[in-house]
Amino acid sequence: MKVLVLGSSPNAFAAALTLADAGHSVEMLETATVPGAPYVTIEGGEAGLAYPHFCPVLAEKWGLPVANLAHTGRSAIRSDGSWLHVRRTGLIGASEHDSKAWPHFMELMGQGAELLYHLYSNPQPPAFLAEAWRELGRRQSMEVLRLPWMSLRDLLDEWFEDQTLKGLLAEVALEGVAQGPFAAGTAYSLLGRWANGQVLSPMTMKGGCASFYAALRASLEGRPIQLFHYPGMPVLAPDQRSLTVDTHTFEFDFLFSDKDARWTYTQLVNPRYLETEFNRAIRNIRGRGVWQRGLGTCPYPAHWPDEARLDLIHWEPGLVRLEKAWDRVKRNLDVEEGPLQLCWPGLLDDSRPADLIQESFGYGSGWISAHLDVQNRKYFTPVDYERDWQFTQGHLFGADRDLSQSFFLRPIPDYEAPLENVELCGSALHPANHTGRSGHWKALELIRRQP
Amino acid sequence: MKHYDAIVIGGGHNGLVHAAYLARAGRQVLVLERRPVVGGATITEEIYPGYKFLIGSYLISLLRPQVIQELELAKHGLELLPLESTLVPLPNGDYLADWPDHDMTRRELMRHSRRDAETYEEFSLTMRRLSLAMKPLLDLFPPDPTSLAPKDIEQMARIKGVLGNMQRRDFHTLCRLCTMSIADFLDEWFETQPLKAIKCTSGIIGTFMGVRSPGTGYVALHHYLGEIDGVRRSWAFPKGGTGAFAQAIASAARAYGAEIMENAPVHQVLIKHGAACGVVLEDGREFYADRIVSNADAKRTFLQLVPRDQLPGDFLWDIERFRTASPACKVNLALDGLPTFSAVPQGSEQLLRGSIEIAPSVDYLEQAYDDAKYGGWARKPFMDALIPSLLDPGMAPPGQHVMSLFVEYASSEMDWTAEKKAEFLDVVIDTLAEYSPDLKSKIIHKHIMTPRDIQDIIGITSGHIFHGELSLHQLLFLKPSPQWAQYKTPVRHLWMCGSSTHPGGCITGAPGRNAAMELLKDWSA
Ligand SMILES: Cc1cc2nc3c(=O)[nH]c(=O)nc-3n(C[C@H](O)[C@H](O)[C@H](O)COP(=O)(O)OP(=O)(O)OC[C@H]3O[C@@H](n4cnc5c(N)ncnc54)[C@H](O)[C@@H]3O)c2cc1C
Repeated sequence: MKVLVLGSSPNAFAAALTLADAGHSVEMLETATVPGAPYVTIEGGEAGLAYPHFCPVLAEKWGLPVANLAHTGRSAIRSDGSWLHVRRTGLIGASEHDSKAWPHFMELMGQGAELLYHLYSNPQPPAFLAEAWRELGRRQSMEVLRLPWMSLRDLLDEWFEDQTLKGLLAEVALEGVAQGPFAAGTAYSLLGRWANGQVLSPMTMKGGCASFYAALRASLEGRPIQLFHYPGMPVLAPDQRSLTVDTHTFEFDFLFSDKDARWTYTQLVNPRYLETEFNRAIRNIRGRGVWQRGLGTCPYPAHWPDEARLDLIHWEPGLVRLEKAWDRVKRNLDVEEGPLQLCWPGLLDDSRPADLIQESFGYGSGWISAHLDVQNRKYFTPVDYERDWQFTQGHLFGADRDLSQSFFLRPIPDYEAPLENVELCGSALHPANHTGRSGHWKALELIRRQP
Repeated sequence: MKHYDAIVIGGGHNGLVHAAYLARAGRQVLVLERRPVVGGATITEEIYPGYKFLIGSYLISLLRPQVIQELELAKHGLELLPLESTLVPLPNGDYLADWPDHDMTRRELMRHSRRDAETYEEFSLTMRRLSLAMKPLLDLFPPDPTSLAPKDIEQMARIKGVLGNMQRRDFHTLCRLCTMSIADFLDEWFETQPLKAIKCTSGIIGTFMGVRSPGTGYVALHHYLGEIDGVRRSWAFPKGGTGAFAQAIASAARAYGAEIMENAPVHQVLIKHGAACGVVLEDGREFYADRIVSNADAKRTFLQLVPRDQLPGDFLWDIERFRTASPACKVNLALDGLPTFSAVPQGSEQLLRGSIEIAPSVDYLEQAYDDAKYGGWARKPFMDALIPSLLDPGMAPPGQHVMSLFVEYASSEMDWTAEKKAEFLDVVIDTLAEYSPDLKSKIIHKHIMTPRDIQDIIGITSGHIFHGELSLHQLLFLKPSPQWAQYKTPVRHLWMCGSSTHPGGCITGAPGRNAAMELLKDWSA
């Protein structure tokens, strides 16, 4: 069977590698201007997602490197110039009340995250969830069951008093999410990040995401997989047996689209071939990119504490700042001082420039220049992500990952590929991430169907 | 001293329903109400002689039909006058109206959008199917999903049955509706702003969330549970106001033999050997009973009426963190004649006999929330208005009218000084006057209940009209505490029957009735 995989994210590679291992010949085609998205490294700095977190089981299977350079934690700079450091081992610079609550909060989040992790790493909820419940005991199970529906504000207000700490955790949860922390269900985002290990010490690797992409490409060697990169708008033939981009035509028996569901079923497949109901559900998918990245040069300020050098640093975070920013964004207004996070990847990884500053900021255009003198600043916005990376509305997961678009509701409720030989394989599907799992599962499904 | 089978703390409608059911089963019941009149949030008060003000609830929709039948409320004077329409006056002088009669609504929608008129039917049918499917949950005690007790397992199976009977598609729509914002959900169906806005309002009534906050979809569904016979057909105004409804239940309860004592504020629940055995009033009088049932909200009950040292720490924490921040105010006006609305053409005054919604657009509603959510009030509030005297002339002196305005958002968390209160009352009247130019000249009396007033006068913590937020993490087996959601409490023989228990607030009678069923079962066990 001849399979074409459209896209080149880790999920696309996972689909291709799985198929190749089963003896199928695979072609991979990237039509976005920039390949490898959403993991794109430019001169050592990350322009899209910053932390490759590929499924460890699959990584081992294909000999891929795992992220092993961990940030030491997170820090926040307060408006009065004081600092808060958030560590697995405890809080530094927090009130006594919050410091006491922290280990208990971590325990609860850890329990919730572990359950989610199981859900994320299995196509179907496994039976051992029942066991997990039993282990947790009744009271604790209830606590965990209560979490996903909450708003970040409700959750964090229950635990902490420090606005900076609450703001920091909410910023982590809402990075890339089009919602404010007062909205119900946002606590689920925090749990999701916790399950992916991205809250306290997210991990990168030597050379950043680019080196992971290089490893993925290298893994093709010796396998019946060919990777092509022809930027442009692919056109699917009416018989759905071939795809043309520019002057290059690819024939296939089966097509995997690693692109998001909206893009696949409006840009790639002509909605005319699809049922009204299906088109309606696709139109109803929500997701707009609201986060962006900045790269530039600026040494780590000498007067800043040493503790924060290897941290992700949040600038004056707060629930109200975040909610107010969202108030403006939802009305398509510019935000002057939205949420802002920084780090110096070169301090963690000596293969990158030491004075490389990497920003991640929500909404507006970022306001770092009011505080630090950043040279050669360039930034990457949802507009770039849509134009150069082919993500609908510049959303790096193709659609919001809130409760109404997760699990069996993703990409749309009761989803079944409407065309016989075209299927999604990327973050459009559960578990809505770039761990390679959805690509792997979908490929296995196809293999099972084809004796 | 007389010993009762049960004492009910609080004569709100749920306390009265509860007492009536217990008395009907032959139990000796005493209801103790702190105010001079029973009803709690369902009361009619003549703040100014001759004008009957609805200082709490104003319309009935979710009241369980069993309660009306089983307690024979019609015999005790309950008369429900169905609402005829919903009107949204628009700033441009036009309006949008909505009737229980589908054809009329369809014709009206055609004026605004052909597409919406066509989708409307499908939308109504979908919502109707969802609410029909969900309705049985109102009458079930919520099972504990972590328990292996036969009654929990049985109840889980019943709920599974309810959900299992749904069409797959409806089940998915239900899951999405519960986790989405009402505005996003409606965006999928309609394009006309005022239509979306008026449908959005069910998602924010009583709730301190905006129309764009996920979670409001569920609140909308909650309000649809009373609307099965098509749109708003079952919203009704009780003749004499909601106070008359409370009096009807009180009369039924008394007929079954319950005693009701007004001006009897309970100071504390008496506990002996870990079991509740009576209450002491603020004036020192003591009453004893086998079971004590609190109709007061969970925070008031456990943080004020029960000594702290009688409660486990976990439970106290659950009650302390139970969210009750409230956005709702109530304004009542006495009017010298019927005000005119610029949007209502002459000859169409019958449109004023229904609900009048100041909700011109989705953005208007969201802005109202944004203004208030940091601890303030909406500069242009959302209002659900009603002129009860048009339906029941007995509500005001001849030729005059009363108007009831349910107003959002104004935060319970702000400092409500007398000046602030007066200022917000002006904001409300100014906003309404934009739609009714002669309103101000007709006002004889005006009266506002801020969340603080609702707390102080009606006795509900933070004035939350549902005794606690209707958010997903405070529902079913999580209401009000993860382990105590079946009307029992950690104190032996102390029970709950108010709106902070399943299925929550609104005039439903359901918590009162469900709690009575559970208590009677427990008693005979
Ligand atoms: C302004 C407003 C408008 C509303 N509008 C509507 C509407 O239109 N439709 C609708 O369906 N719902 C509406 N609601 C909601 C609905 O009225 C309430 O959810 C419901 O009436 C609550 O009933 P309850 O019996 O559970 O509690 P409550 O009515 O709050 O009764 C509790 C009773 O306990 C008494 N009490 C408290 N502490 C003590 C004590 N220590 N000793 C003795 N007695 C005590 C109180 O005085 C009170 O009478 C509205 C509520 C408000 C406040």
